[in-house]
This record gives sequence, C-alpha cells and structure tokens, in this order.
Amino acid sequence: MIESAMLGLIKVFSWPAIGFMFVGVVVGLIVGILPGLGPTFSLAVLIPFTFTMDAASAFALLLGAHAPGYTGGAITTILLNTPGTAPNAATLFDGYPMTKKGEAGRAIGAALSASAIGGIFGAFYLMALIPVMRPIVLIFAPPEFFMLAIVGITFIAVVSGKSMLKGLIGGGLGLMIGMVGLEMSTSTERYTFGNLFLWDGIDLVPVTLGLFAIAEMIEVAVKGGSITEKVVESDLGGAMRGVKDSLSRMWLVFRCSVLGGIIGIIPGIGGDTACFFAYGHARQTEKRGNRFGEGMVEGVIAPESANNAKEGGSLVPTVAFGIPGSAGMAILLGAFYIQGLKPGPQMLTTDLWLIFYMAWTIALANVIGAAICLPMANSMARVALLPGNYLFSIVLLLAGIGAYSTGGHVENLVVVVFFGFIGYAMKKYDWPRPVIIIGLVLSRIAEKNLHLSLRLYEETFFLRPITLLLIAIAAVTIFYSIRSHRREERAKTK
Amino acid sequence: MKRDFRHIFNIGVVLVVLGAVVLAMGFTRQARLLPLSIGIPLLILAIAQMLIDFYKVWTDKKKSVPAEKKTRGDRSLFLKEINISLWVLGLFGSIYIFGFIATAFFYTLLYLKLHSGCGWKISLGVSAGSLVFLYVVLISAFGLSLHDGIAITALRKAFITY
Repeated sequence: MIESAMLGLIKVFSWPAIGFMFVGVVVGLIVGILPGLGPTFSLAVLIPFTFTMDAASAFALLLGAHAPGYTGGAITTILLNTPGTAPNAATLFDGYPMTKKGEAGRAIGAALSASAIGGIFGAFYLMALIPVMRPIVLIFAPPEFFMLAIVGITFIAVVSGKSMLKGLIGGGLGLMIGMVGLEMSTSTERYTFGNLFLWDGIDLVPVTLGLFAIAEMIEVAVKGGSITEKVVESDLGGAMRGVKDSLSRMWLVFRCSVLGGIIGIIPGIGGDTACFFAYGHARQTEKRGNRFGEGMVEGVIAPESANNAKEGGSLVPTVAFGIPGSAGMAILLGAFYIQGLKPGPQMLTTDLWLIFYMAWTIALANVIGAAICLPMANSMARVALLPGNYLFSIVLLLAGIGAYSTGGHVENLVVVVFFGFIGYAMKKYDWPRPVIIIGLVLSRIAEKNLHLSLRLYEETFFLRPITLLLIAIAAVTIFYSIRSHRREERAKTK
Repeated sequence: MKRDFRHIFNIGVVLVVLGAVVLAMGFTRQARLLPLSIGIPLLILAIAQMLIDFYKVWTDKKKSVPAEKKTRGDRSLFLKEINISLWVLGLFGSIYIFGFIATAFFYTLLYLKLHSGCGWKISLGVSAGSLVFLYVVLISAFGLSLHDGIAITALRKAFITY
C-alpha cells in the first residue's frame, strides 16, 4: 500500500501530468469564478481532450480542473454576493458582509487558504479511507439519508439570522419549490401547470443566481455608488490576514473538513449540503457564533474548508463502487471507462496507485489553485469598489449565461428574473435568502428517501442506530437554536 | 409606502402557500404527503408573520416620521426600483429576442450611455470588452452553446435557403 502511495506521488510530479494539472487548475478557477458554471462544466468541457491521453495525464487535467473549481467560486460569492457554484452559497452568510465592511481581501485570503487546507484534508481523508471504504459506505441506507436531510433542514433554524420565523418560512418555501415537477415514485405532476419545462423541477442554479446575483445588482443600481466605499487593507496585507485567520483556526478547519469528507462520501446526499452543515456546525460551536452573519471570518472558513474536502470524500463511492456521488463524479466515471478502467473493488487492488495518484492530485491542485489566486486577492477585492453601473450589465449577463447553461433551457431566464425580484424583495424586507437554497437542495433528497424508507423498513425505519443518532443531532440543533435566539432576544431587550 | 409593500409581500407569501396547499389536495396520496405536511405548518407560520408585521405597523403609528418627508423619499426610491426593474426585464427580454451576443454589446452600451450617463469611451470599451469576453472565452475557448435569440433565428431561417 505504501508503495502504491509513493508511486502515486511520483506520478503526480511527472511530466506531462503536472503540466496538464496546471492547465486544469487555471480552467477550473476561471469556470469557478463565473457564476453558475461550476466544476461539472469544467469536466464536461475538458473530457473530450482526454480521449488520446494516458490515465495519469487525463486525471491530472480533469481533477486539476474539478478540485479548485469551488475555490474560484468563493471569490464571486465574497465580492458580488453571487455564488460561483451552488455549494458556495453557504459562504454568502459572512463573506459578503465582510466585503461590505471593507474586508474583502481578508475574506478571500481566508476562503482560499481554508479551501486549500480543506482540499488537502479531503485528499488524506480519501487515502485513509481506502482500506475501510466498503463498511463505511454501506452503513448509509435510505433512512439515514432521510434523517441527514432532516438534520440539514434543522440548520435552517440555525442560519435564519435575526428572525427565526422568517427563516423557517423561507426554508419551507425552498422545500415547496423543490417539489415542483414530477413526483419521483408515482410520476404525479406537481405544480407544473401543464408546462413541460417544469416536469424536471426548478433547477438550483437559476434560483441561486436570481436570489443573489440579480437581487444584489438591483440593490446596487438602486442605491448607486459601489458595493463598498472602503477597502481596509491594501496590497497583500488583507489576504495574508485571511490566511493567518485560517491557520490560527486549524481545529475549525479540521472539523469542517472531516464533516465535508463524511457528507461527500455519501452518494445521493450531494456535496451542496456539506457547506451548510459546516456553517451550521461552526455557528453552534464557535465562541462568537451569535455574531455569525455580520461578517465573521469563521463563517467563511467553515464552509470553504468543507467545500473542497467533500471532493475527496465524493471520490470514495466513485472509485470503490462505481457509484457517482454527484454530477461531476458521474462525468469522471465516464473518464474511467474512456481510460479502460473499471471502478469497483477490483480497482482497489489492481490500480491502487491510481487512487492514491488522484488523492495527491486533488491535494496539489487545491494548493496550486490557492497559490495562483492569493497574490491577486487584493486586486480582486477592488472589484467591490467599481461603480455599480459597470458591474450591473456584466453580472446580469453572466447570471443569464449561468442560468441558460443549466440544461440549455431558455425558460431558465424567466426563473432567474422571477427569483431576482423575489430576492430583492426578501433583501429589502429582511428575509434570509440562503435558507431557500437549503430547502431546495434537501427537498428532493428528503422526499425520495422518505418514500424508500417507508417501503423498505415501514414506519419503524427511524429506529435504526445511525438514524436515532441523527434524530438526536437534529433535536440538539433545534434546542440549541431556540436557546441562542432567546438569549439574543433577551440581550436586545436589556 | 414601504410598509404597504412589506404587507403586499407578506400577503403574497400567504397566497402562494395557500395555493400550493389547495393544489396539493388534488394530488395522489403519495404525492401529497410532503407538500401537505410542509405546506400546512408553513401556511400557519406565514399568516403569523403577516399578523406580526400588521401589529408592528399598528403600534408604530404613533411614533412615525413626518408623513410628507417619508412619502417623498419612498416615492423616489420606488421610481428608481421600477426603473431598474425595467432595465432587468429589458436585458432578459433582449437575450430572448436577440440572443446573448447582440445583447452583450448593445445592452451594455445602452445601459452605460443612457442610464448611467457614462462617456462614449467607457461605454464602448466596457461593451466591447463584454462582447470579446463572451465570444473569445465562453464561446470559442469553452465551446459554450448560447441562445441565439428568436429574431436572429428567424432571420437566419428567412435568408438561408437550402
């Protein structure tokens, strides 16, 4: 096993693999920065180039583009309140408030370094799990998936901000939006009004772009001026302060990375939820948790470390069972077959070096991605100082492109505009917007697994040990949220 | 005026949820399980929020800002919001009719020149930059397939003969 690990490491630094990885990282970062186009898009664009490559070069290019995609996404999230990729939405809570406070450089520095460290943890996590992959993945069945979704939904209460009532309504609306389309087990049309486009449901990307990108640009244009009037730190100082923040909160980075890795490993839950779990966890456990949402650096570090760590985790079911945990992993699975490789238990013995190689590639690509962006972090932070007029049409256009590219449906333009106006109204009247995303992400997971659990285990499905543990976590989360909200209310009245 | 719109928004939320619950009643047993178990409590919460906001207005009435000053500020903000909303609708309407490429250049130019009052140099520079980025990076390099616009497609059909 050690031999395979060393062989994998040597191959990472061999030519031309390292060159392809670098190209992949640059493409991944650019695509990640563009709102709506995530790492899955990078993989789809790059996969045709791998037909004539050897396995090492192909995976260097693909994983090089995939791994740091979320790192790039954090930049637009922090600067423009527009998630570059859907999982970056959890970074909105504190990333954008930091920009408004003039700490964009620090936030980007923290996000980049947390992403890089999280990515490294995720890679090591993958390596550590190789011998015990099978039993861990098999622990999770539909009842556990359902309860995990419920735990995620309880985080709505944690991240609701000032008004828990509004947060719960927003989360509920997100869940209802997720129910638009054909019901999975009976194919009953729900809220489609006879429209074929709605049969597949409402996609996460146009909703996210509408609620954040469009709403933010409307506000900037109405208000006039720029996103912020001040940049506290100049040169590399701000970004380096963010890096120091991440390094000095290594325990938080580690915990959130492990959380991301665990959620990433579970096929069907989807990595989008990992960042919300990490954010909710940090808010509950950090000393200054009650100030999350006001621009706390911990609120950026937590989701970003989980974001890249989950990629290592999501490779586990892909290589061990041939079950892709996400759309990106499904494309990567295609790359395995192009290379003549068969993912599954056999791969753990015959091509073990390649799994280690992939883990090393993820780790190195994350470091390269952060290293490329870090020197530019403070220059990028100056985007927040640009007059809103310059940003308005460009951001709106990018949001339109991101929405349209999701399936190539022109109807998504209507969705993005509709949610843009809803998002602006929500912002104006102090309704938390990210809770809608949590609801939307978890809605289908919860429903599908509830029906499966009821069929497979009947009403006693929640009596399984892991399910009971998850019920306890959900109960503690709700209790903690109510208690901290009450404390905040009392502090306000005093 | 601001308060009124807050109420309209709240009422809108209640109506949407109410509509969703009523529609869910007509689904099959399995399909309505979750919409109803989420929709009904959600409806109660939405009504509660609406009532809370109404109550706040009722209690705030006594200590309100001088009416004339408040109305003037709100009206100006409202007009700005309508103006920007029309620009947003214009952009997406333009994408639908003329496609992304034409919109990237002409919409940006119009917005900067007419709405923002920027000089020709900046307006043309930013518009051309948007077009180049769209064409070179997204279409040529990444091979992204973008909507052509119904007008452009119709023109193409009319002029290209097979």
